[in-house]
Amino acid sequence: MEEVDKIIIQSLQDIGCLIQDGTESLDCFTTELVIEASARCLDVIIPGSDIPKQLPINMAARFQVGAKIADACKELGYTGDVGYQTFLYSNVTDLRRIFIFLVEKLPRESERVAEPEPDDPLLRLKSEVCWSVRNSLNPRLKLEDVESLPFVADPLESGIIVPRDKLSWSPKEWLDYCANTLRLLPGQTSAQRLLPSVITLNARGLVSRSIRISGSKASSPVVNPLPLPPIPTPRSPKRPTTWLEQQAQIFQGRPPSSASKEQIAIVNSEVAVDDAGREENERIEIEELQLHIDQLLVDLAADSAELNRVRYEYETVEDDLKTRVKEYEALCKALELLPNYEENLKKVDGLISLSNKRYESLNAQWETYREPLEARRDELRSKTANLLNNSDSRTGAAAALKRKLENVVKRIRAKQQSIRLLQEEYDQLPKNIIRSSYTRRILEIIGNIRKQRDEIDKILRDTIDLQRKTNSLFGTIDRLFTVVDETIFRNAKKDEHSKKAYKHLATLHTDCSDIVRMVVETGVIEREIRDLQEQVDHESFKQTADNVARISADMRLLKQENVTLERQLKFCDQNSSGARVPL
Amino acid sequence: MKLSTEISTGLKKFTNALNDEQFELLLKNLSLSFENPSASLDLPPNVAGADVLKKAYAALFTLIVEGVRWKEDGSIIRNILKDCKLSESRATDILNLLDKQRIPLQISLKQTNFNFPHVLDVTWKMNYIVKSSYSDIDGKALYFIDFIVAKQNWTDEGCKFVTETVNIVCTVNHLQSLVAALRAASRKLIAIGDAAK
Repeated sequence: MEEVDKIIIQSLQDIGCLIQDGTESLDCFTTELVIEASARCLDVIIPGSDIPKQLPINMAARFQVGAKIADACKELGYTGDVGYQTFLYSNVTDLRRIFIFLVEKLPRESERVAEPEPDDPLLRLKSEVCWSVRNSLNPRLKLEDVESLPFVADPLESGIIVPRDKLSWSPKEWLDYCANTLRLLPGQTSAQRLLPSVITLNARGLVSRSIRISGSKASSPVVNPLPLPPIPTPRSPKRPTTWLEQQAQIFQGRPPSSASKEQIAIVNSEVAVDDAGREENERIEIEELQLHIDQLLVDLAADSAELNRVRYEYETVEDDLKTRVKEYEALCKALELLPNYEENLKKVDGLISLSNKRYESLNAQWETYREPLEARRDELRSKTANLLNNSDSRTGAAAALKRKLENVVKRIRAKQQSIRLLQEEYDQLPKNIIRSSYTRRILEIIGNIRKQRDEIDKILRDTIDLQRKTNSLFGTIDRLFTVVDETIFRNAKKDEHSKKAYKHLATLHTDCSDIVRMVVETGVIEREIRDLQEQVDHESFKQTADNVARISADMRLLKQENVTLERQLKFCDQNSSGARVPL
Repeated sequence: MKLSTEISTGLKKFTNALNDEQFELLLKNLSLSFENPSASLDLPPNVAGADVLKKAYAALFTLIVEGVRWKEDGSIIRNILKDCKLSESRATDILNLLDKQRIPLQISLKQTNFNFPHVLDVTWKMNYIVKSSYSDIDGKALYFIDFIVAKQNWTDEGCKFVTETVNIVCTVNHLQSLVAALRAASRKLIAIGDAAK
């Protein structure tokens, strides 16, 4: 059994259980370790099994975890007796059986390695699809899996807008209806049709908006609360041929059809307009205008963008205008000077010649300053170029060095990382596991078992031989007794000694029978004693006393938890009775 | 996700018009109706602003259902609520409710579809047509196949499975091509499944 325990412990360590190195037998497993090991095994066998690996503090939760693990084992096909007590109050024999079963179910190393880990999202998606298909092919189809609800919607009233059939109502009537008669959405239809009905409610609104928008482009933006379908012309009933007609048939048995509703609504509205007059029309108009506030807001945003654009254009035009005004003023001045153009021309010539002379003198002066400055500038420029060249080469060298340094640092980091990984791997690797030693041990065990089997066969043969001899001896004795009995009985009539001998023979026969019977009974009792001894050993092996102590401790904990919960419940009751909000 | 003007208006006008107490009541009612859709819910009698509460309820219910249906994330829903001028705290409360109900609602929405019948069993017989009014099947074998299918029947008490029989009649060639097509489909599925090994 030690060998089995070692193999189990090794397998558990391989899947990531934190078992101390000195542990060599399942006797040393604590309840927490048993739960963790079972949960990890199940997690590897059934990925996503969602069994907690830590034992919770709460007793009820502990039992739940134990029951969950037991159920998972049963689902995997474990045929033995298993329940929450197997894990919470474990005995070594049951644990060994469970762990042997779980370790056998663990996927082999080759299978685990073969799973690809694609980096490409497309490949990953493909592999996920494959997994999904494979998983759905494995189990048998159950009726619960194919549960589906037909998409059938009922018309719902949100109360936000006035439906067509209630357009004739006064605002007060409508408010009273909303406050008192109108039910919440789930109350207006069955639970199965609630979601389709809500989706249809929103879709109906979207369709009506799109109809309004397309209609408002062509005509004035008058809004109806609900889209007004064309009034159906009366026609003779016929078989439904179009999709719409088929849909209408689905709704058979409902209160008045949509067409008749629309007719009623239109008739009602006309009557109401006649009766209620202007006030009614204004109310409807207000409702419609409120519904179009959104559209107007959007238009407002578009208009403000247009306004900004126009303002920008206005500013550019204004700048243009200013330059043209300046040009215009210059032209005006020229026009003023035009009458005395000869004098003015002379004045302008004089001014031009003066400015030319001034320009020449200034130019000569500038030349005297310019030459040394240019020489200095050239000199400085060449110096700067030299410096720039030097700095460029140095910067290049520094950058090259930096790159080199970064590469070296990266390589060092990668090597350190790989050293760390290898070290971790090395630490995790079993140090003393050699496959050949296992093989040798297995072969030795097989040899021992073979020897034991031979010996058992030999003993069985001897026993059978002895049994046969005993039976033949019994037969011989019986026959001898009969012969002797007859002989002595025959002589006993004549001979006194023979009579005595006959009596002795009868006594001897009875005594011998008693002795044989007692020997047989002794054998039976000895066998019973051996059985009982085995049972005692078995029971003592189950650590019943320890388990009883653990169960008592858990029971105490449960009682304490119950008391705490009762106290909390009372406290909550007191609080809630103080401030309860009716729904 | 697109919301109709009706729902947007409901969110803007009526959800903002609620005071904190009413808003809390509204969220509680919404949560209850999502958790137990078959329970008949209604507002307590004489509650203040019942009409506004009902309208806001309808708008928020639709928003949550559409949000889950279109798998919108929290930021988009928050933007919608922001556009509807809802305060940050109320938007957070609504988003919390949506996140809580997302998975149950997704399951319910997934179950709402067109209801295909599922084959449970099949019985068949082959008849040899010696003579008939249809000359093209004279002297041929015809398969009469009855598919026993399970269909869901929703009643007030819940879902019940009822069995129906679908009869088809086909020639040997038709049946061969049908079986070949089904086999090819199953082989394809198995091949896709095996690719995951």
